[in-house]
Amino acid sequence: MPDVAFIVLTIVVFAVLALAVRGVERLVGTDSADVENGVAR
Amino acid sequence: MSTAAAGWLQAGLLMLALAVCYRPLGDYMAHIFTTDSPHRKHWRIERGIYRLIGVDADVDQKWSTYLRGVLAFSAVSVLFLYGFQRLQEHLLLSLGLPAVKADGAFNTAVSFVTNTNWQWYSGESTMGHLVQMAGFAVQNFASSAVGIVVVIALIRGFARSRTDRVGNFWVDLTRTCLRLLLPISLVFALVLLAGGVVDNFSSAHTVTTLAGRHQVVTGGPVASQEAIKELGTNGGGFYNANSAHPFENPNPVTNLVEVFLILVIGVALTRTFGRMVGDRRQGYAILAVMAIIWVASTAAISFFESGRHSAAALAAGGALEGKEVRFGIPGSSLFAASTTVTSTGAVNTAHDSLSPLGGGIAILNMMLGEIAPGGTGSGLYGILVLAVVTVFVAGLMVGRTPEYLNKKIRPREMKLASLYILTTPALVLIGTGLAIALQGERAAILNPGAHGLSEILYAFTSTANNNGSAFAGLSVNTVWYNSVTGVVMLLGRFLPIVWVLALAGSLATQRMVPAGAGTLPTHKPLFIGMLLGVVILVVALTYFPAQALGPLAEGLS
Repeated sequence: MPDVAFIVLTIVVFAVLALAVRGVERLVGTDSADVENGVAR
Repeated sequence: MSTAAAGWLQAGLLMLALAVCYRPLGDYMAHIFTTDSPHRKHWRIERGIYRLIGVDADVDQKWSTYLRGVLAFSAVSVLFLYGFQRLQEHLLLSLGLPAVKADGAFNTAVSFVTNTNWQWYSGESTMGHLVQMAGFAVQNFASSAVGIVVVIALIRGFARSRTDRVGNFWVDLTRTCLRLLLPISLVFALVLLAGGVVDNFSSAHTVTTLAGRHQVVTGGPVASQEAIKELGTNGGGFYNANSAHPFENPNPVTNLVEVFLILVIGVALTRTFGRMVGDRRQGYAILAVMAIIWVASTAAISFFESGRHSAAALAAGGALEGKEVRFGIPGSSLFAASTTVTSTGAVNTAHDSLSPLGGGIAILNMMLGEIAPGGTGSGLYGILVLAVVTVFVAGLMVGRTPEYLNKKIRPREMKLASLYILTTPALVLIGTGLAIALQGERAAILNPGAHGLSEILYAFTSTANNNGSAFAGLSVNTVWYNSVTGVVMLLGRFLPIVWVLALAGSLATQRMVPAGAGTLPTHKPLFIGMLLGVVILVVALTYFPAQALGPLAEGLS
């Protein structure tokens, strides 16, 4: 039982971090419209 | 030789060794991360690794893909290390030790993956050799490499323009381990071995001492782990006494070698930075700020530990409680300062026994964000974020255009920099506040008054900044502390990495802006002074009330 709790805790923290990435992507992502496949349009 | 002369000699030799390595190591690291020739690009063994994990090594990634690689690799590492400890009793070389308890295994797995190496346990009586070698030592390499590759991605953000690609995480990680950390660790493992550090598969032996008493002596693969422990600014000791143990750090020479290893990559990375952005003077400016903080910190701890503030210190010629006589005050102060201005956390003295103000400096070093020169990679990306804040503040103060390395510092970059400098203080102060507020957790304090607060403050400052050293006198081996400090370590490591890689992506998409009459030169003494001011005013003052109630109150009472 404690094993399940700590594995779930680990997954939840990394899931929160992954969600933070999604949120920050919105903040940063707008300028990416200027580049396509890694190079400037 | 007098104590003062020994201190000057050690500091001089250390600075000389770092100066000798600065250019070749910095240039070599720049070469590792900028090798683009198709024929020399990947080593054969590297190509094998890329094929094995299914990575297209010739394709660069966006910052978000790079970051997802960091997070996925680290999440899998935590789960693997957790399982490894929980299954210890069934593994080879377990020395008959039982499985590590669940909350302790979680805390330790997180601790090693986040480069913290906070240890609630005694290594020699809790962990078998295989867990130490195949679990912890592997993460000593990997977690250190993760810090380095993150700062390399940030540097590419400054150096590149009009692209959304900041590199390939898997390529950077593999190269860092194979081309940088492994070779240096191998050489210095042999150096430490020659200096007297043990390395064997011996289990515990009971021996009879000269006084006729019995003592349990445990051997193990120590030298091979000691080098990467310091080089990678990890700090997790094979033994509970860490680098105060004679098998881990036998004499003043090995002590100096270990301090050198703690600092060398962080120092040389400033050269790498200068090379990669095409202006070495930028690296020298950052190095100057780091050096000023390191020298001030070492001098302050040496001063406070040499003081004769009590009858015992007066009789001993300094505050020798908790210090190894092999190293004395100079070797202990040098180590204590270097381990806390980096994210190492290895110790050769009991930090709880430092004088109140000496201990306060150790806490302050961590509170500054461990930037002088900091953890491998994490120190440099920390100070680069503060450099971004500095040019923004300079722009507000004197009407300069906020630019850094030909990139505009826009509201978006400032939001990310602000999130970076707020994250760690929030974790430290909320964690400390919670521990003080909860009656059960407050009972973990073994010393009353201001020193008790310092113990909790040190614990959360150390875990949130991924340092790993500790004041003794706090019973942290509880489910609450193991769980909460585990989460603090995860958030303290990876939230700043989220902001830093997002900053790298945001900068990389910009076009280069030529320096104009309104651009603040960032390689001159004015900028160095301003950056120091930002470090003190923006970062250190955030913690001033907590410092005032803990170390300052104790030191001035």
